[in-house]
Amino acid sequence: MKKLIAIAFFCGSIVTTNGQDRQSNLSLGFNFGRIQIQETALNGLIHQGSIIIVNLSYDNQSQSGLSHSIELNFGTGSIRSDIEESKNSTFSNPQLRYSLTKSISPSISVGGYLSGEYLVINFENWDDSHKYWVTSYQLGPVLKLNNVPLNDFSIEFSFPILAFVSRSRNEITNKVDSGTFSDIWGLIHSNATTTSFIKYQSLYLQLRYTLFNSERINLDIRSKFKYVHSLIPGTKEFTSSIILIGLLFSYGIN
Amino acid sequence: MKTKIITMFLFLAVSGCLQEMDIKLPNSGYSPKNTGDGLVLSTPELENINVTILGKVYSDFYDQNKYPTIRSLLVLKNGKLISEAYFKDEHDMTKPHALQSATKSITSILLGIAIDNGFISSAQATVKDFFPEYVNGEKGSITIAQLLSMSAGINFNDETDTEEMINQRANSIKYALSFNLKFTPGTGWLYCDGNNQVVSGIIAKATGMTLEDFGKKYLFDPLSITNYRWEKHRDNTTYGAVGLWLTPREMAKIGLMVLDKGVYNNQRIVSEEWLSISTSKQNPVKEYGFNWALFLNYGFYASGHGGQKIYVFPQNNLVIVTTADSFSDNGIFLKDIENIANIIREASVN
Repeated sequence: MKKLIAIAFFCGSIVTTNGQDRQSNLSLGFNFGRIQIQETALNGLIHQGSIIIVNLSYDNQSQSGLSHSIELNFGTGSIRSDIEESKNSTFSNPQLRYSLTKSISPSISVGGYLSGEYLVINFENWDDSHKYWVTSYQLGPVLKLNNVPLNDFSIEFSFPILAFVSRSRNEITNKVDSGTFSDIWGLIHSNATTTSFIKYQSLYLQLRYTLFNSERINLDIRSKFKYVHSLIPGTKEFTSSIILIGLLFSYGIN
Repeated sequence: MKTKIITMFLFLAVSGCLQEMDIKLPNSGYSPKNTGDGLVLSTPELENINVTILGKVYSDFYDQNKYPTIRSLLVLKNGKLISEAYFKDEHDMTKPHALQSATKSITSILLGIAIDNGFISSAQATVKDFFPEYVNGEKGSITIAQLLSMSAGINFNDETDTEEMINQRANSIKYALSFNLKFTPGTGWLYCDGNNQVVSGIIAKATGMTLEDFGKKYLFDPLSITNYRWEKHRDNTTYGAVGLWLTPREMAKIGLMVLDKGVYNNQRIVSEEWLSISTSKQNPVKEYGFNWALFLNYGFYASGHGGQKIYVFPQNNLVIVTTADSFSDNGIFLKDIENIANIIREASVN
């Protein structure tokens, strides 16, 4: 139980924003959390550890209720399985996400999103020669709920209905994956395929609760949960989940 | 209100936990299957191996929490396959597996065959005899024996230079010979992949065949080894240090041939003299022959990164083959694999 409470505490986040009525915000965020990865192209063991994500975002909302949001995230961290005692595996996780939503009621907004995300992992103990990756470009719906189920509480949920995905190869050779940017870039876009929600499930859920707000500053608890499950034909199954806390500094432009 | 929020976050935290999956197959024993591939089958009892000890080794390898990278274990006594098991994937029985540096031992056998057939005069032939354009001075005097015994002294660093050779360089042999000498040839120990790339080049130049083609004609075909592949560099030189893929059973055939002093199915494959030399101490400072690691006085083995092994114990008439995840760190996951081989050896009653 203590462990669960500790995890729950970890789920929380503190978010500060200045101003409630601004139409545009530019934000810089620092998020910390826990990640689990299960890469069956490697061995299927659960690797877990810490993740740090720095994010830069821009939001704009018009008086008609149309809202644009662009978010650039860069995550990195280290993970290991229960069997390992040393040398953590490392990963990089950049993401660019754009969403467009429209308010259909005071508490509900709907729309769509477009994103590009990379996850590149070095399982140093298990495979010192090859990289493992999930690359996805996604298109899907977004649902945002404000003041639900409580006042000052908001929920955002999205998932892709179409995705363009590149996954780690099934068969590996003695060719060592080069560490140069151009070679990695080619690798993480290789054998890409277009797929749907049936084969590539990437669920994103964000809970946000405003603890304190004033004219200038908001103090929020925020929890992000992301679950990815890839069943692309010809590749091995991949699953991951991320839970984050964060500190977000926002600057109102208008 | 706070309780509701905490409940919500708790739900998220719990739902974020993935479920562990088994990385090994259920324990299905270790009785070998008759596949018609030429291996003769027997049982541990008939060949005098302690079943309790052998069963414990297999049981440990099946254990989900031990030896996470081990893939197969085959034991052959008196020329017969008495036990085999595939711990992660039953298809491993017929699927070629990367031998990593255990490839070097096969390169050594093929060098011996090249000498036996008169393509190369002896292991004392020098690099300069074959590649005068790439070497001069002291480096030119490096012998094949020194290349195979890791006493050549060429300062090739496997940690960085193997990747460079494989991925970047147009001429792998020229690159392998481009490094300065760390010590006078024949006086020290410097294990490196570059040596065997040069040996592969020497065999190709002397025989007019790539190492792979030469291996097919003189080793693989006679042993009925058909399910293999051998990677090559873009300059068409077969990798001499790594890159050979064999099934565990094919590895076992090579072990049996070496155990039988170069004979397989009554056919001479390589001379007894070459095997005797190459499996005895040839390096001045290490227990190492010609690409064979040595157990002092009682055996030798081919050894590849991750845990690819062909152990040969002549006094016990015993061959043990292991395969493991080919690119994993056996120093972490299989650090006592040599001890396990010796436990099986000690369980083998002559």
